[in-house]
Amino acid sequence: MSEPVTPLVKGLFITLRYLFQKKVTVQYPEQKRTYPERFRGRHQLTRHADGSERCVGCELCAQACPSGAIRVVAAENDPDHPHSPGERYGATYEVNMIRCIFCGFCQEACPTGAVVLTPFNELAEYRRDPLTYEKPRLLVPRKEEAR
Amino acid sequence: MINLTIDGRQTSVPEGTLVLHAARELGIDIPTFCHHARLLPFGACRMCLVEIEKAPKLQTACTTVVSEGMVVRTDTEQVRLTRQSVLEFLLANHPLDCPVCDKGGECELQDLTHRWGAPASQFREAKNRKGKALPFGPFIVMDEERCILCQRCVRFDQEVLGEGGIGLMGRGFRTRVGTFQGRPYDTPFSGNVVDLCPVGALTSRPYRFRARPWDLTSVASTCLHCSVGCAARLDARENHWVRLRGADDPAVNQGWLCDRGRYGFGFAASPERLTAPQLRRGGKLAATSWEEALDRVVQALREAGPDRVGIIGGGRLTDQEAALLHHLGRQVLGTAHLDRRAGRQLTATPHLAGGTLEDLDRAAHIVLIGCDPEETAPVLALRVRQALRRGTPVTELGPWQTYGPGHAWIPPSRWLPAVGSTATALAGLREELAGQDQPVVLVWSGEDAAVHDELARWRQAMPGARLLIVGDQPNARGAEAAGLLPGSGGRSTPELLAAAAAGDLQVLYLVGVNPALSFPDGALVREALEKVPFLVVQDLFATESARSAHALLPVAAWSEKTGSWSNLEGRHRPLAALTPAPENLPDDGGIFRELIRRLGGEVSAPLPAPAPPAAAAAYPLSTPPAAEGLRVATVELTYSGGGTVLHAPALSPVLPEAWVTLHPEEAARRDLAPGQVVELSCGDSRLTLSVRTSAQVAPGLALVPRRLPHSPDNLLTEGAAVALTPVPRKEVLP
Repeated sequence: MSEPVTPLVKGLFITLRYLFQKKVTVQYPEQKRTYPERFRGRHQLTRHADGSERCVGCELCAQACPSGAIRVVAAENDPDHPHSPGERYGATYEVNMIRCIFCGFCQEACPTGAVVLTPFNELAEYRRDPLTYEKPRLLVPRKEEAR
Repeated sequence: MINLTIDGRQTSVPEGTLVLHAARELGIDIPTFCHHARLLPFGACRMCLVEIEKAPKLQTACTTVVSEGMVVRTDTEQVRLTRQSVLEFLLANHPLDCPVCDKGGECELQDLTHRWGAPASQFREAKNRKGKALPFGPFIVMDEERCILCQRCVRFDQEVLGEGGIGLMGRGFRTRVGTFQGRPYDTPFSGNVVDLCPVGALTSRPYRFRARPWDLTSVASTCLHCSVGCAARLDARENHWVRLRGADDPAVNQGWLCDRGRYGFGFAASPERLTAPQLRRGGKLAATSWEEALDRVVQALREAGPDRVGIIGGGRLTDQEAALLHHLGRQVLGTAHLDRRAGRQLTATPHLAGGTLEDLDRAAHIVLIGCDPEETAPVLALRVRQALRRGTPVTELGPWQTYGPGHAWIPPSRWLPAVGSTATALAGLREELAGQDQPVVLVWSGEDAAVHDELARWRQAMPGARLLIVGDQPNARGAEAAGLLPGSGGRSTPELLAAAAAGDLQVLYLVGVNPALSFPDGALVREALEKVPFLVVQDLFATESARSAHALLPVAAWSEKTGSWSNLEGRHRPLAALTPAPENLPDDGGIFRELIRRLGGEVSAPLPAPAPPAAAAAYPLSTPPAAEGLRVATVELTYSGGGTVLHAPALSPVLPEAWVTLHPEEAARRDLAPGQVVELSCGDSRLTLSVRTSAQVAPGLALVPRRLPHSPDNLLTEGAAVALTPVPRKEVLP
C-alpha cells in the first residue's frame, strides 16, 4: 500500500517547498519587469546629436531582414531643409511587427546606426494594420518635441 | 591563328586578339574597369595587369595583343597583390558612400573590391574632396569623388558620338571629368554614360534614389518609342517602372539608347492616363463600364454598315494585335477602309531591296532623303555618325542640314523653285551615281509620292541600293505587313477624313493615333473629327483627337503587354510585360478580341494571313503650292508629339518650345534677331513662335517643328508662303 503513496507525498513536499520560496512571476500589467539594456524589442530610428535623422534610406536593413519585415523608400534631401546629412534620406520606413522575428540583423546591417531595437516590447493590438509601424512612430521625437 | 598559353592552357586565337579576350574565351576572368566591348582599348585603370613571360613588368591584358608563343599568367601571387594594390589606390580617395550611392549593389568597383581588394587600406590621410551631386546634364548627376577616371564616358563621347562634350579637367589628384566649358551635357544620347560608368559617379536623375538593385524585377524587352527597336532591360520596383537600360543587340543598338527611349518611361505611371472607358452623354464624356462602352461601340459599328466605317491606326500595336485589328476590320466588319497611316508617311515598307542597320556600316554612300535620323531614329543616326568618321560620303536631301558644313547637302533651295520636288533632286543624284554600282544605303522618311516613284527607278539603276524607311510609328512596318492598309476600293486616311468631313462616314475608329496633331492638313482633320457622327478613340491619353470622341477606350501601355513587333528593318522585336496593366485596363488586343466576339466573329488561331497590300497604297495628300518668298517647311523632332513624351515628367527639361528657324540672311533681311517672338501667318492660320537662326537651314524656308500640341504645325500648309510679323514684347514691370 505504501508504494503508490510515496511519490505523491514527495511531489507535494516539493510544491510546499516552492510555496515558501521567492516568486519568479510578476503581476504583469500592474507590475513590470525591467529588461536588460540590450533586449531586442520594438525598433527605433535614431537621430544625430544635431537632431537630423540618421537613416539615409540605404535599404541594407531591408536586405538583411530574414523575414522581409522592413520596407524602405529613399528620397533626395531638399538642400534647404534636409532630413539627414548628405543627399539621401529614408522617406518611407515601415516595419511589419507581425513578420519581425526580432533578430536584430537590421541593427547590425545599418551603416549609420539609425535603426536600433529598444527594450520596449508591448506590441499587442486588436487589429493587424497598426502593427505595421511607419516612420512617425519609429522615429525618435526631436528633443524639443519630446518636452 | 596565334598560339599562346594562358595559365598553362594552350589556346589559339586570331591575330590581333587582345590577351583579355583570349583569356575570357578560355573562361579565365581578368578584372577590368576601363575596358568596354564597344569602346577602343585604353588601359587607364591598370586592373587587368597580368604577367607575360619575357616582359620586364606586368602588362595590361586589355591593350596587349597576343603574339606567337606568348606565355601569360593571371593566377600568380604577384598578379593578386597587384590587383589588391590597384584597388587600394583606386579607393584611396573614393568616398565609400555606398549606402547612399545609386550604384551600390551593381557597382563594378564594389564587386571587384569584394573579390580582389585588401581588407583595409594603408592610407591614413584625409580623403581628397571633390564636387558631389553636381548637375551634369538634364538627366545626369555627377559625383566627382566616386569617379575612378576610367574615361569610359569620355571615350564614348569621342568614339561613338564624335562630339567631344566631356573631357578630363585639371591635373594630378585634382583631375576630374567635366563638360566642355561647364555646359550641360545635353546630347540626345547622354544617358548612355550612366550605363557605362563602372562606379556611381554618373547617375540618372529620374532614377535617383528610387530603388536599390535587389528591389528590382527586370524583363528583357525592346524600346517602343521609335521604329529602330533598341534592345532594352526594363526595371520595376513594387510594380512601378523605375528604369530602362540599353541591352546589347549587335545588329540593332549595340547597347546604346537615346534619351527619349531611356527617360521617356514616366508616361506609364502618369496620373493623366485614362483609367476607365468613357462615353459621350449629353455632350460630355463620362466614365462608364466596359460592358456599356463596348456595347455602344458595337451598336455604332453595326448600324453604320461596312462601307461607312473607317479605321485609322495600328503602328503602335504589336504584330499580334495588328493581325487582330485586320481580322476585325476586314473579316468581321467587312470593311476595306483600314489605314495605319495618320501623318505624312505613305509607306514604311521598302519597295526596293530593304536595308538593315548593319548595311549602314558597309555602305559606300549614305543618302538621307527628307529624313533627319538624329531626330526620328537617334540610334540609327549613331551608325551614320560612325560612317561619317570612316569617311563614307553622306548626302542629305532636305530642308535642313544635320551633319554640318563639309558634308554634301542638297537643300530645297536647289530644287524647290525650279522643279518642285525632292524627287528631282534625288533623280539628279541617281544620275550622278549611276554606273558605279556601290552599296548605297538610302534612308527615307517615307514621305512624298514622287520620291516613292523615283526610288522605284533606283532599283534598276543601282541594284546595290538598299532602302531603310524610318517609320513614323514604331511598328509601322509590322502594321503594314499585317494588312492595315486600304484594300481594293478601300479609303486611305486622307480619303477617310475627307469622307468624314463631307458626312459620308458614320464611324471613325482611331487606334493609338492622333491625327489632329500628325495629319498634315489640320483644317481637314479638325473638321472630320468634329463632323463624324461616332468617333471611337483608343489610346493611353485623352489626346487632341479625343476631344470630340464619342467613345474613349483606354488601353494598357507597351510595358504592360507581351508580344512582338517589327522594326524598320522588318526585324522581329520581342516585347515583354514588365508590370501588370492598371486594374480594369485591357490591352489593345483584348479590346479587338471582345469586339470580334460581340460582332459575332471568331478569333481562331492562327488568323487568316492578310492579303499582301498593293505596294504603297495610294495616299493622296494635297501637294504644296509653288510659292514665292518664305515658305513653310516642317521638321520632326525627337521630342515632338503628344502622348508619351508630354506625360513623361523626366523629359520636361528637354521638350522643345515652339520655334521657327530661319537662315541668318533671311532673318537679317527681315530685321529679326534670335529669340525674338514673331507671329507666323499662313493663309488664315497664325502661330506665335520664337525665332532661331541657323546656317544649316536652307534660305527661303521657315522651319517649324511638327506635332507640338501647343503649336500645331498642321495649321500651316507645308510649302505655302508665310509672313512673319514681330510681336511687340510685353512691358514687364520690375
